[in-house]
Amino acid sequence: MLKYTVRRLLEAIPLVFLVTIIAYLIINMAPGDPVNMFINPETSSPMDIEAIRQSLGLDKPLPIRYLIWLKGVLTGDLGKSFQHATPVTEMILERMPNTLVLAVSATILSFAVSIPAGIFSAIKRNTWVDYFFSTIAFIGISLPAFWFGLMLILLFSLKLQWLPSGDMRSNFDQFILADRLKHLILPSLVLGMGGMASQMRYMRSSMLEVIRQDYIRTARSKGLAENVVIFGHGLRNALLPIITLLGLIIPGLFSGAVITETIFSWPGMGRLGIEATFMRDYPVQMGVILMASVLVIFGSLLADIGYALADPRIKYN
Amino acid sequence: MKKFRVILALVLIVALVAPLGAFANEFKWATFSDPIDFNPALAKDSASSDVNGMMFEGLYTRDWSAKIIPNLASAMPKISADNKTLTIPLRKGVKWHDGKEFTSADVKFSIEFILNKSANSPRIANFELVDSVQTPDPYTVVLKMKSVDSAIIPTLANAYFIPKHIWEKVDAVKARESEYNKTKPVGMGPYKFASYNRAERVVLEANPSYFGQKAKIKTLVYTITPSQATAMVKVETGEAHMVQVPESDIARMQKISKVNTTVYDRVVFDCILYNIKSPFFSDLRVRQAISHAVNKEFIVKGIYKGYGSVANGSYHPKLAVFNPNTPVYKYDVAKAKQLLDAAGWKVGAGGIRVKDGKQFKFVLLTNKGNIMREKLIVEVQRQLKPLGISVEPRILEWNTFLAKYVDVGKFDAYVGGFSTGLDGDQTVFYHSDKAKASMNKGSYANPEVDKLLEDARATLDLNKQKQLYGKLQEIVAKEVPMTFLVYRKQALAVSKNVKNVRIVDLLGFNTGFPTWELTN
Repeated sequence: MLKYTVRRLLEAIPLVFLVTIIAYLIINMAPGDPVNMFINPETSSPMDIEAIRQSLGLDKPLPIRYLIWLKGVLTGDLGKSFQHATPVTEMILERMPNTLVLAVSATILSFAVSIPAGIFSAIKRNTWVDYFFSTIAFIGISLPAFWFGLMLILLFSLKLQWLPSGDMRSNFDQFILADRLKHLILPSLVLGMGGMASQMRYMRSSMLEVIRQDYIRTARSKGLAENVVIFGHGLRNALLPIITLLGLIIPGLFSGAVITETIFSWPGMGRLGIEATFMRDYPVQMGVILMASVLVIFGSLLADIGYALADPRIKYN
Repeated sequence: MKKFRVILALVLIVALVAPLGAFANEFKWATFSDPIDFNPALAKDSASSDVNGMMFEGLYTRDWSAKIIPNLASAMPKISADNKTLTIPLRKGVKWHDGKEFTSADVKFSIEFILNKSANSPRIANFELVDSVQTPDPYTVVLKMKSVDSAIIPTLANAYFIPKHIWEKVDAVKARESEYNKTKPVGMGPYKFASYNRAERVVLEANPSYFGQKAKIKTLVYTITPSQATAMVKVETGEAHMVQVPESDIARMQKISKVNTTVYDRVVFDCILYNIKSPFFSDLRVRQAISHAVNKEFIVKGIYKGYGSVANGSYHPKLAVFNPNTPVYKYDVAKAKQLLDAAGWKVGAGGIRVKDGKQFKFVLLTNKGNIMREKLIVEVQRQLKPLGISVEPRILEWNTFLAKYVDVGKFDAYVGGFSTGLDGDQTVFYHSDKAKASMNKGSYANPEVDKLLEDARATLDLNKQKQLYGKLQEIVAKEVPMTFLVYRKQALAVSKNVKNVRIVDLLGFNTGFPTWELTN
């Protein structure tokens, strides 16, 4: 197991490396010039423009710039934001907890809904309950997050005025749980929606498979109550594939955060990334991509290990 | 387990029932980008300028008629006979937010800071004609100019002044990264800095020792949202009190009962800019013909939904230097056709005009992302067709638009938008020297215009300036380096809970903000 973990960690290094090269290339090839974000190109002299280019280190060729950036990363320095003249590490650390809060609550919310719904669909398969949840799941998978988010704002913030249209908190001086929860509801619902729907389908088929097994029949024939059969014997085994799913939803949470955070004014990493993209703030863009890819790779590793821990039949070598 | 569920349910109910929105004594302004520099001598983005405008002030300011009046200075400058020395008396007892007194040393330091190349201040050009700053006593500043510059007084009306006792400790090269630029600004205006959470909000508190009208609103919060659309939603839900509204959303915001949406004029105009070197537009009569052929009223009503006004020049009619006798091109298709005929462009096959075997077909450019201008070029195409002019509208990505076409002069005409100052100087548009006129993309050149611009800049006599700029407007109107289309407007939506709101054309609202009050 330890060997496996170490091997996976070692494999992750070239993977992250590759991600950064590709990201660096794409970011630099995208149209737009960071210099134009500093000055009005219509009113500045070519000399000023050149001076700014030099001060940002953009006068060097692309491969050299990448190597300088990489050297910084290896020494723990992600560089400084072009736009804010602030260390990228500081900006990311400021935002990361907010994104994690949102991602964790979205995950909890989506499992809290999808697991019971999946179980019910499986037990009552081919009844109206099953069809109802399936329909909801398909709608959930197909709804684009940006549209769904806007509709929720329209309904709950503008029309009903029950929930805030965005932001993470309205009280900055003290931590008020009710205030934070109120701000969390809509964004975590939107972020959790896509995962919720597919987890519901996974849970349903996994449960269906389990309740056809011999040991379930044995449990029933022992005269155990149906509840005990389903939740005591069935659920534990049916939940195993869901652990793997946890690893798969992490990338979705990060890409989803870009949209969700932008719609709901959530001060997280996704919004930092999108703002940096619009402002052509290369160091911040790279920092966000690097952190996100490390988290994704690490997350799926954790899910694999968790799977092995939960199911003694699985052994990694 | 059961208990837990009950508690959870209770928490959720409390969360839902607890009232939404702002705290009673906070005024929330919904904005859509993070401010970057709290040092007003370094700031260049509008989010920073909005915040800094509440924390910093100029030696002079503008009254509601845009006239320049003393502010941190106690009187208008005393000007020497050769117009090159300005002696400015300062108001006594003005305090920086940290309690130190504001003196002539701060003024000298600020101007020298801006002129220091290492600081990389975007204001450097504003002060480039300053030769030296002297401080005979703490309340007197003497500005020695290299040459006479009428633009220096409006420049002093902008808030560029920073405290010497703070900034002398900071290496100019590192000024942008300094904590005084990021998290600890010290100003002298009606509001002082309280806190900043990036991507969330900036908080300012009323300055109790402000020298002028003390602000009635104690806490001013800039709520930072990701987009203008989100910022507008904040005002609609009552989570914020104020937001700027673009033309496209004015009608919608005006229907919302809890806010007043005020539309006001801006010194911004949209126009067709001609490349004077183009084979089509080198002929004055062609430029005049198009100016007659474009139906500006129709454009204002149709494309701008009435939130604009017809433009006949780059000087807004509400500016002090506006010349009401400037010739106007009335919408007159017959006259346009006559002018084209006279210029040798005769109607040929397919109804398209031809001259020396060349058809009148040109590409009208604009940059991508500006919806109004994207619609404008298509409308111009439609309006010029009956004249026998074939226009191909083309929308380009901003960088390409500038680098491949506009900056290198490879275009016939483009639709662009420009903003002007509140004073008369428009050297940047019309001077033939490109080093001085970065926005003269069409290579317009007229020695008489150059002289008028230079003479106006070299006199401090406002009447003389008005006369020179008036003449300039007449020449420009006659020679049409651009066909002016529309002066643009903007709107500010302010919650009806706010009293004493005053918003004035061209100036906006800043001047009167300290008298605004929150009611419940």
